Amino acid sequence: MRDDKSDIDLISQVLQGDKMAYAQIIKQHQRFVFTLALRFSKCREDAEEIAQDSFIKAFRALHTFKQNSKFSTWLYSIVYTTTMTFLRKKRLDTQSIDDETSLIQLEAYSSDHTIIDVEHKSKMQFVNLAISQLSTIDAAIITLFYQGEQSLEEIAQALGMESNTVKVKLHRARQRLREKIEGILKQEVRDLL
Amino acid sequence: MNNFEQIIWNYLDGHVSVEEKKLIEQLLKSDAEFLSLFEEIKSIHLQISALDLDEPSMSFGRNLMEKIQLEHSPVPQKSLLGKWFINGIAVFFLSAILFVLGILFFKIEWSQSSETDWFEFTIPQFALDSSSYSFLINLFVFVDIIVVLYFFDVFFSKRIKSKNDHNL
Repeated sequence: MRDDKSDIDLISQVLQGDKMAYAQIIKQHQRFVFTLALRFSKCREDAEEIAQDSFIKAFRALHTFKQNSKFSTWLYSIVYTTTMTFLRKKRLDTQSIDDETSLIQLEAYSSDHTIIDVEHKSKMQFVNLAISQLSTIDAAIITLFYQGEQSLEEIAQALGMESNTVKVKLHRARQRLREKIEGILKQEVRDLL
Repeated sequence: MNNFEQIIWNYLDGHVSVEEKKLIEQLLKSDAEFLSLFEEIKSIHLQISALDLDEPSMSFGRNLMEKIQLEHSPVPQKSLLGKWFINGIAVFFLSAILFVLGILFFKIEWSQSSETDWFEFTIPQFALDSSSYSFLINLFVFVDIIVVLYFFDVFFSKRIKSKNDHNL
């Protein structure tokens, strides 16, 4: 029965002091929040940390949610700002890592992929791989549009951009995605021959 | 071709005009190259739409709720500061202003040299260096300093607490 409750009902329950109602909000949004964080950070551990921080920030600021937009849009804007702060901090922390370490990681990553049998790769995996090769913002826009089912206006609101800018960026992101998929497929064919 | 690509994406999103829709349907029937591009983009569009969401670890929700339980409940601003409190502050300041203005009004010395002249008035001088005023000013400054120190204490305590929570 509780699954049928809307975000607004659950938020008012939380604001009345029922913290457990927030567990339901987490359950309803955790997969998308995690996916979005993963698109930004490209690392599962970081994505979990970002998703947790985002939910905690949303909980603290729940009373400021004005309800003039969808809760999901408001939550995704928190995920975006949390990720940007996280990545900025992480970039500063990892500046000292030398190129040798990075090279080892890259080699490990590519060899891991060539080992995988091509026959077991589904089309979805190609698309996922292509999305992971896009820039952070391109991957986020595609994820918000397709998986988050957000309109261009809502994406603009979540990312703090103009909706026309989002429209142009979405188009370019899809063009790049198409190119990436073509590139991956060509590489797979070359590996097979 | 680039322009066609954009039109196809818009068509698949349902964001095309009637004219563009007719043009696409016409091209699909007459242009084999356009049909091939359309099929390719449609296939990508369907694949992205069908992508599954990633799943966080099993303990994600449980760990998160443990942290949430340690948080204070978010309380709407309205209930934090009741209406009576806001009204009380307004009433206090209005009364204080009216009180000061009242005293000033009654202390003004009004005079009129002839019936046709305007009223003349003299604002009473307040000797700020007298002992009673000096005491009041010192008291006022002292209370202000206490209030400022109190708010500094609250502000820094909160910052230290949030920093500790973040490090946990």
